Amino acid sequence: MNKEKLLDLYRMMVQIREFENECIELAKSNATRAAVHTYIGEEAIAAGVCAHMSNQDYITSTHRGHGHCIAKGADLEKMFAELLGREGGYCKGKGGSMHIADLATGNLGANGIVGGGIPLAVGAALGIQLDNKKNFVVSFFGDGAANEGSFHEALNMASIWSLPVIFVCENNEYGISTHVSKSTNIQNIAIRAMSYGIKGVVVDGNNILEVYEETRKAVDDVVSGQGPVLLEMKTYRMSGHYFGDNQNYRTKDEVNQWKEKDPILRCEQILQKEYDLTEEDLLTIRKNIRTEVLAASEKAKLQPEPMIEDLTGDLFDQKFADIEWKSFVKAQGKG
Amino acid sequence: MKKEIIMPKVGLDMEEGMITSWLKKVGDHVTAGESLMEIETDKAVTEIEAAVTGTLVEIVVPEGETVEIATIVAWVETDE
Ligand SMILES: Cc1ncc(C[n+]2csc(CCOP(=O)(O)OP(=O)(O)O)c2C)c(N)n1
Ligand SMILES: [Mg+2]
Repeated sequence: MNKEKLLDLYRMMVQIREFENECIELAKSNATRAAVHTYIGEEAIAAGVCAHMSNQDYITSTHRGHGHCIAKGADLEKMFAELLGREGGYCKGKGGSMHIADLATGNLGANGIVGGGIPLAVGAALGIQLDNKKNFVVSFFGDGAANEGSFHEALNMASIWSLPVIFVCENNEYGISTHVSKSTNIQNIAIRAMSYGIKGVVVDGNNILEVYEETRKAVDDVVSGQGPVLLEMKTYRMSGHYFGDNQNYRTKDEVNQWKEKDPILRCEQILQKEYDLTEEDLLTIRKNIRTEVLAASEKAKLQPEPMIEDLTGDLFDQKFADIEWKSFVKAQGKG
Repeated sequence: MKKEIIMPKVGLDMEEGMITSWLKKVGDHVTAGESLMEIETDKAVTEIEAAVTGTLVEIVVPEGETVEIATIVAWVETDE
């Protein structure tokens, strides 16, 4: 890989990390209100996968979706605004962290329902196939989601029709507090691909070069009509399930061991050893990105909150939009 | 630059928290990611990590005291 390409991937990972660090600060001060699930430690996956995608290629994301959204090209101020419940957010400040969608960049949306995005990705891939387009879809989901019925149904349907979809299982070893060894009776989730007669590959999800390369092969396969691919990205959730999780189900030693395998750190080691960047070069990059991320957060904080009159706007069904919301009545002192 | 440390909201329905112990003293150096204090909510005791690197210059809320979320509990003079 050439130096500029790897630096682009590095910058993307750092951008995601700094975004998540700032999210934690916002959550601490109660500025986000709702739960924030950070992607810390898993950045190489979103960065390495989405680097192969254009705005006409789609993703479906998860409750841990900030990284996917940013790697797909989202605007940071609009993301912060959504987390902060501001009018200029992706869902006008009415959805929050787990509901960011951005059709302009091909992001079909995060999803609070574990495993909920996988069948949606199959639907999008069917659309692409019916339109005879050369695009493809990536569905991100966790190790926990791989035990949902929707995962199996989706893989089956995608396999019988050879749909252009890559299933990216982010195996971060945990579903909330449950270690994957207690929820799953196999070592590698990738072998489930066999049941559907599709390709399954185990990938070191903390190694940006490997993620990039294996995704490239999968993209070649799916767009040439050879059917879907299941990529299992081995990684680790370096933060708690959500900010505030006291993590009493795992040891500090375990977490510290994985800190040595931090994907950003590993990328920095490669950049220093093989592309002669200095520690100072990397520090400058990190500082500049941090400044940009914080500026986006500050700008979002200055945005107005949505108008209370808009509370029921944008609902799909007009019938529901006409409901008089009880909490709203109470807040106004009428009920 | 002086940066405030607040009583963090660590649970969805948390309104206040008690500092059970300060893991650093005034004058100590802390690195971002290092544990700084331990707080107790009605649910559990949680260690809170520093978000910035610098010197702990003032402890505003002593051990044993309960304060509302987002209250300033200490100040760190950052290294940058
Ligand atoms: C259908 C459904 N069941 C349960 C939940 C509660 N829940 C939220 S996140 C989560 C764990 C998901 O684990 P995994 O798929 O491994 O994703 P990770 O959080 O590790 O990224 C669960 C059970 C949910 N949101 N949706
Ligand atoms: Mg998981």
